[in-house]
Amino acid sequence: MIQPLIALPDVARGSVARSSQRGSGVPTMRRYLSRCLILWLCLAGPSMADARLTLNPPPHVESLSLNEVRAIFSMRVRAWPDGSPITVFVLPDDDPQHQTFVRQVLTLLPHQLRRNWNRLVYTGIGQAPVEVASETEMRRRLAATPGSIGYLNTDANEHKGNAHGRLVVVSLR
Amino acid sequence: MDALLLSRCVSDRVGARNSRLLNLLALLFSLSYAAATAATELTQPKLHGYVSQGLTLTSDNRFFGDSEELSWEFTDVAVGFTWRPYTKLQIAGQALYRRAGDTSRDDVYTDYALMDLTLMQELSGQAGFRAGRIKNPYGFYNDTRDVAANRPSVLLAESIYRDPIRDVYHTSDSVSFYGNYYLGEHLFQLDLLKGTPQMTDLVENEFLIPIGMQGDLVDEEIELGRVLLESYGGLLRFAYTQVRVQSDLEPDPGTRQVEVEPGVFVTIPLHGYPGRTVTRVKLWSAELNYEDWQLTSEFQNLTFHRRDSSPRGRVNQPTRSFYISAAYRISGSWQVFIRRDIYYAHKDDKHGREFESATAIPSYTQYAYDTTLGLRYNAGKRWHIGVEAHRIKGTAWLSHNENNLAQSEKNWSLFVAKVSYQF
Repeated sequence: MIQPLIALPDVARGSVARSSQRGSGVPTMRRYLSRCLILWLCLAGPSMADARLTLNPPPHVESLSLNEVRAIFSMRVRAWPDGSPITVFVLPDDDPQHQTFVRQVLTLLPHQLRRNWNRLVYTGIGQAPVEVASETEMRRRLAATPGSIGYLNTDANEHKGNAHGRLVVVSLR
Repeated sequence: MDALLLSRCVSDRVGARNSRLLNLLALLFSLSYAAATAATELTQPKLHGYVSQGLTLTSDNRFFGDSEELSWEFTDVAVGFTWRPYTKLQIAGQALYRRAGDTSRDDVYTDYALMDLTLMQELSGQAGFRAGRIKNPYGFYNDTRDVAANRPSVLLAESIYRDPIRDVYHTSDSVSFYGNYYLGEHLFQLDLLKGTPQMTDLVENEFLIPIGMQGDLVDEEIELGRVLLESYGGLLRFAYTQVRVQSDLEPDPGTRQVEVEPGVFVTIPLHGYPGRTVTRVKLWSAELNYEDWQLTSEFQNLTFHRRDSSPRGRVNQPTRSFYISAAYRISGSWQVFIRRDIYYAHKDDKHGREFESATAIPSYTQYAYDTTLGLRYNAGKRWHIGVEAHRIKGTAWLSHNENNLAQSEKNWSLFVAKVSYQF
């Protein structure tokens, strides 16, 4: 059984501590990740998507390396290893949860990630991720989109637990 | 329930691994399925664009129009799309209207139009192929020079990203190969490109006026290679770009008589000899992104090699460009930056003295020292406002279309402001 995970510490909901996270080094980050990893991967969807599932099975990914997650959220890679397309969902740039995810899980700077997406879009060589307005929408879209990836705070998930049956938590290795 | 789902997918994956043919068939089927049914989020064309309006004000000399009086001739409007009909194929294009005094076409034209085909696609590395009109991956900033959010300043360092000749370096009708590969904490990126640069009449003037020639530059070619290394999630970035641009000069017709000895005349071309110029660029780039700081430096060695059939038909002009800049984010929305930018039109005549004694044109047209202070405000991801003040000694990178450099002012100031909205 997959248990809902603790997604983000409470600090993420308020002000994001910006100074101490970047230089904290990989070991600290890994410890953090092992406790509260929050990548969700959609395995199935509604009936329409189920049809798609049989054609082009969504990937089964239990774990991803940091570089793989970076490649996905930097929009450099477009498909899972089985060739099915990746849909990336993110919250708005200034959302505290997005900031924490980018800084602590990806260990990137949010404005750098935005610059990467801008480069892809405005030079025509890629696309930006799909931006969703709220965590509720994130969960709904993840559940409805096979092969999608995003991040969720499991606190909210506990309150509205239906969707997580379709989602898989990916651990970082 | 979850465990069941997981195990089913495990067997799916194993099955797919064991049967590449099945995988291929499934892929083909799903591709046609995707094409035949309503577009999904990923396959729908997406629109994007930006609108920018700036102003320039100079104490002396002209920069983007009549800036001594305050010029508003600094406008960009772009609308583009990206469309990914298949996972491996992206098609994209953008129309651009750009006005920047007499350094721009003041017209609507195709900024880029390309197809991007993924050849290799793994989570740890990707490679692909592009063809069409492509933004040249030149240094850190060339391909995104019009994107306000991606610049710390309004104007990039003119010594390297010189606005009067931007068109010839900005895009090219070309084919390119690209690759990304992650290794440990490092991301290696490679871009190789070969094609035809965009030569405009205005850029021709910028090259021909200083060497006293008139005519057409034809048969241009560009070859470009860039390696970029991003380490520790972009904390450190290094790039090396090497470019070769070639063009042939077809001078305007006309001859004149020159008396070489009393009573002895020779006929020479009025506007210069036919010839070829090969421009070789080596550009080193380095950047540190640490928390709210961004330190950037680039050094460029750009040499013109001119060859023609005239008596003095072998001329090499090695230029040097260097800047260092520091930007600091005061808050999520505000950023300040400072930059020192240096340009020498000839590395062996940095202060232009030999040039002045040979041509009687002031020495300060051969260098430029630019110190810039700037402030930016980002309102969300859509609105960007930038203001900056430059104090400049020398006029080497000013536009020949806008200025008669022989009569330019040595010490001058430039104030620039720009508002941008992107979607």
